[in-house]
Amino acid sequence: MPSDEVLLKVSGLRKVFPVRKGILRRTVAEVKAVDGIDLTVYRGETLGLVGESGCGKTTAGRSILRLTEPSGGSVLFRSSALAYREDDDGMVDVAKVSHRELRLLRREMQIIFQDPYSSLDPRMKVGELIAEPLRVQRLESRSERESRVARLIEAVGLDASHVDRYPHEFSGGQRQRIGIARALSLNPKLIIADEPVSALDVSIQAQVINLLQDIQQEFGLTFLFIAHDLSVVRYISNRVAVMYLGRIVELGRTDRLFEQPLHPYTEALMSAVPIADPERPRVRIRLEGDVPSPMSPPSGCPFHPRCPYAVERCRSETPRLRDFGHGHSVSCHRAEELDLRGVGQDIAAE
Amino acid sequence: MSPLLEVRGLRVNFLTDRGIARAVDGVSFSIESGRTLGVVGESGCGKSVTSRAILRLVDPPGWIESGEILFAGRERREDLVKLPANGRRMRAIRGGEIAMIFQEPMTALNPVFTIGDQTVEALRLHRSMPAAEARERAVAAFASVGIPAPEQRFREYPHQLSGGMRQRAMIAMAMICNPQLLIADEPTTALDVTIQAQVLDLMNEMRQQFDGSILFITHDLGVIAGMADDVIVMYRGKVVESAPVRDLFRQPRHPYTRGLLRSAPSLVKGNREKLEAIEGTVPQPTEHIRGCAFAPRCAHVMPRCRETVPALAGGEQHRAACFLHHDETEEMYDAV
Amino acid sequence: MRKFFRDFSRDPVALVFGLILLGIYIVAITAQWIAPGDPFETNLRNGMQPPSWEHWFGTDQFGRDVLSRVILATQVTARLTTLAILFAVVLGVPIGMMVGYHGGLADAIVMRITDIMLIFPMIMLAIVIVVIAGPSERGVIIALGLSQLPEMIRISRGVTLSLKEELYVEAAVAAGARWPWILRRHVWPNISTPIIVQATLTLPVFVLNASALSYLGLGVQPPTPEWGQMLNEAKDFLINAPYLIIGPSVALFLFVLSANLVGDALQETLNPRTKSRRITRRFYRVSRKSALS
Ligand SMILES: Nc1ncnc2c1ncn2[C@@H]1O[C@H](COP(=O)(O)OP(=O)(O)OP(=O)(O)O)[C@@H](O)[C@H]1O
Ligand SMILES: Nc1ncnc2c1ncn2[C@@H]1O[C@H](COP(=O)(O)OP(=O)(O)OP(=O)(O)O)[C@@H](O)[C@H]1O
Ligand code: SF4
Ligand SMILES: [Mg+2]
Ligand SMILES: [Mg+2]
Repeated sequence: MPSDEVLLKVSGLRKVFPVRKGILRRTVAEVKAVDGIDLTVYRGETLGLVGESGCGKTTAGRSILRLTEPSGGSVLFRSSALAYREDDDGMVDVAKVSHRELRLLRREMQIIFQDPYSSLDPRMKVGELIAEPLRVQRLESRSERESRVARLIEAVGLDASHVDRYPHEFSGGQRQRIGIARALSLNPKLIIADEPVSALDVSIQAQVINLLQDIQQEFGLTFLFIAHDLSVVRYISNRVAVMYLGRIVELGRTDRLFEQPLHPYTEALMSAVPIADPERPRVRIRLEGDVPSPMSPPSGCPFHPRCPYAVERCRSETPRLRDFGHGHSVSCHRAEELDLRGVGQDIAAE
Repeated sequence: MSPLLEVRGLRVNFLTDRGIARAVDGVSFSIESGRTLGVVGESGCGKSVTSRAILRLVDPPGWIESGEILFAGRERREDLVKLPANGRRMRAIRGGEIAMIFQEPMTALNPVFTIGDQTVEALRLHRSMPAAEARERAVAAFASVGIPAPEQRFREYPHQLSGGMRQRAMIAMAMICNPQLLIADEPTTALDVTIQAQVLDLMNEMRQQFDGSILFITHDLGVIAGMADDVIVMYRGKVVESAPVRDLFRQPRHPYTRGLLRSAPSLVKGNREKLEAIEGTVPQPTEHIRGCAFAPRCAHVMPRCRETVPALAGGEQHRAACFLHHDETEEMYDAV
Repeated sequence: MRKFFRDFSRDPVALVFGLILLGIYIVAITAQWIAPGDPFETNLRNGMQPPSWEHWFGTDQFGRDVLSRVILATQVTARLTTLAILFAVVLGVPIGMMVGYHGGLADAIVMRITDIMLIFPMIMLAIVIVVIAGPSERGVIIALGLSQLPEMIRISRGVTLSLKEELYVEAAVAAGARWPWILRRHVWPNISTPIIVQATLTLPVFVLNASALSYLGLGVQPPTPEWGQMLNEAKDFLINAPYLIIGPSVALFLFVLSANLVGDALQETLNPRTKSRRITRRFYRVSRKSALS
């Protein structure tokens, strides 16, 4: 159950990729993949991070875990391994710790990847894959490791006899279970799940979602759950953050955000989701145009070229993420005056 | 009147390292003219192979083992399986009478020609007309699918367009010869939701104007609910349920269809109960299964399900390949 | 591995020449015991004898049994070339993996050096080394090894570069793995295959080059037999005793040919793309027939 203890506090996180051209590999432009995001994750909760392809979700996750060096900002994490190095009220800045300390921190923060095919080394057996984190961290003896792997395999719903098989003998859903067991092996506090079910078949998705919820209970985990499927995010998250072009445009408690969105992009995103009900005539908020390239983001509000409610001010002035109470924050100039539709309110008038 | 397209007992096999894969294993369906038939099913269930077989585009290591594909073309009704795959008639049908839109337009478009040239070529391949006129019609087609500044886009190469624009160009190209049947194989799967919504709206508009039929393939039940008139659900190379779209969503019969509908979390309701997952995994197409292919995962499995393959049965409109429905009693289902 | 042998043995040419290559190595290892005579024992009265039952390849100007010398030369050549390849692998692969993984300045410098080394012809390099180290077996090994070093560095660097982008490498990093672990556990298993192929393909080149160096008097010194050096001696008696060249040239030819063919076959079997194409094509033909009948 979510507590009010902050486990992770991300402030002003940025990641810029240089775009190089020519034989001299000169930097000709920059991709602002993550452009200053602030997030707080409470212990025991699931925070959903949604947005369209290329908006920077994966990059944000990788920067938090420092799998890629952030270009700016801080990532405060409440670590028990590094408790002696307390910076801000008992938390360490992942972005600043040394490499040796980072290795220790990795025991507490793990990741589940989107693609269960390429994230498992095809030359390793399942048992070795699950034990790899324990081995590189030099934790536990060989026999302890083996019994731990056996327990993990069972916890994710695979069979003990699977340890000696290779990943290619498994289906996508089973591979994702292996990936989950691997992430669990170090007994982490925080797991960043980067679209863990997007690559799976519809009938398998539910199995994996159920599994994630079970292990959250059992192991007392906190999830940062990255996804583009809004239904899944609504189901699994306590709170949701919506990203657009490297920024967070809205953040709030799940039901509130889905029922009373305050940002026009959230509204449009929700109304664009096809609903499995042919007898439901809907009015869609149709967004014109394409998602702009993060290489040349629009001036002012990044959403203004596609926003049906944009006014002059939106073109020139960049809105800040403002708090609207009940833990709901939005970055839109017109958030107070607009009356936006949530899910379930888009049925066309008969 | 006979349907525009009628597929009977289609079987397509592939030779793989693990043996023969029965990718399409006795599929039958028909499409009336002017209607949209949706095909749903999970990855690898044979949707794309079915559509490629209709256009006779199954290449080695695959082959059409048996079946009939009866197409009521402009002149006469003929069995496409009997035509030479690369003969004159098949080439005239491909792109002319039956057009296709692919999931990943990049693979279907030639990267070294402008999309304008490719559209003009597609048109002139099937209709003899002067280049200038073809060009004019192509630009008009681009405009009609909502491509902004069509004259300018015309001179661009596929990689210069965004995914949504590329898919619009593909639609323009497919529609330009005014085909009788349009096959759309997951046309929006690679797109973002907001772009998907644009393309689906466009396809729905086209559907109003266009008097031909559409075979719409997707794995997304939400998309099918908004696009199709009739639906077939495929599982492991077979049709397990076939129904008008409303009936399918209101009263799904096959346990697999029910499972699919129940296991997806709802965007609207936001409930928190545990999801009703379908246990197990999709069997490999090379695996031999004696009875119903869904039996190993089915919660209602009976002894005879493991012995014999259930036929698609249950009436004119709504049919399911499941023994629970061979006795006609819908109530029985819930009692089981 | 079993599958590999199955695929490999489906190719009869590769199988036959693989066995020949194996045979050559067995001869090389057991040379001391199987040589019919003493390769060093001179018997001037018995010099320059044409082939006979007693001396299959005849005797040379000192009356030494050519067959015995060819057999011993096989050992010398096999040792030379194998050590040279090991030298290149042991030095080149770690360098390649390391600069590939870490990139940066070290990578740039190593790549420039290999470029320069590639421009130098092998023989030039060998002459320089031999001049420095004096003609000896060790000189030949170092010269040959160095000539192949850039290639080994390039292969292992290239594979490392592409694997570095693999998600499973990132997964290992996320678990806290450091670079030695990643190189050993995730990169090396993928490098071994192309390295083995490259080594087998290099073998014939090394054999020829070793012989060429000996022929030029820069390699193995008499009285130690070596094919090139034996040919060098034999060429002086080409008119009077043409049979002297038979032994060394047949051995040379067989070694080079079989190593080449085995290298090609290895490349084809170990490269999954060409392999599956080959196999499915073959099967497809069969099943197509059965489907029609
Ligand atoms: N290594 C990289 N080098 C350069 N640009 C990158 C790199 N990784 C990501 N980007 C760019 O950063 C932006 C954000 O990418 P990211 O993968 O974080 O998006 P995402 O939200 O995870 O998208 P998706 O839903 O497709 O996974 C994209 O425009 C992408 O092109
Ligand atoms: N070129 C091929 N070689 C071997 N097998 C093939 C080939 N193409 C298709 N298959 C087999 O046919 C089966 C059905 O494939 P198909 O592409 O029709 O699936 P699909 O329903 O379109 O799935 P998706 O949703 O992933 O597109 C696959 O399981 C596969 O085993
Ligand atoms: S700030 Fe303006 S452009 Fe941006 S979302 Fe709000 S109304 Fe739309
Ligand atoms: Mg991503
Ligand atoms: Mg497909």
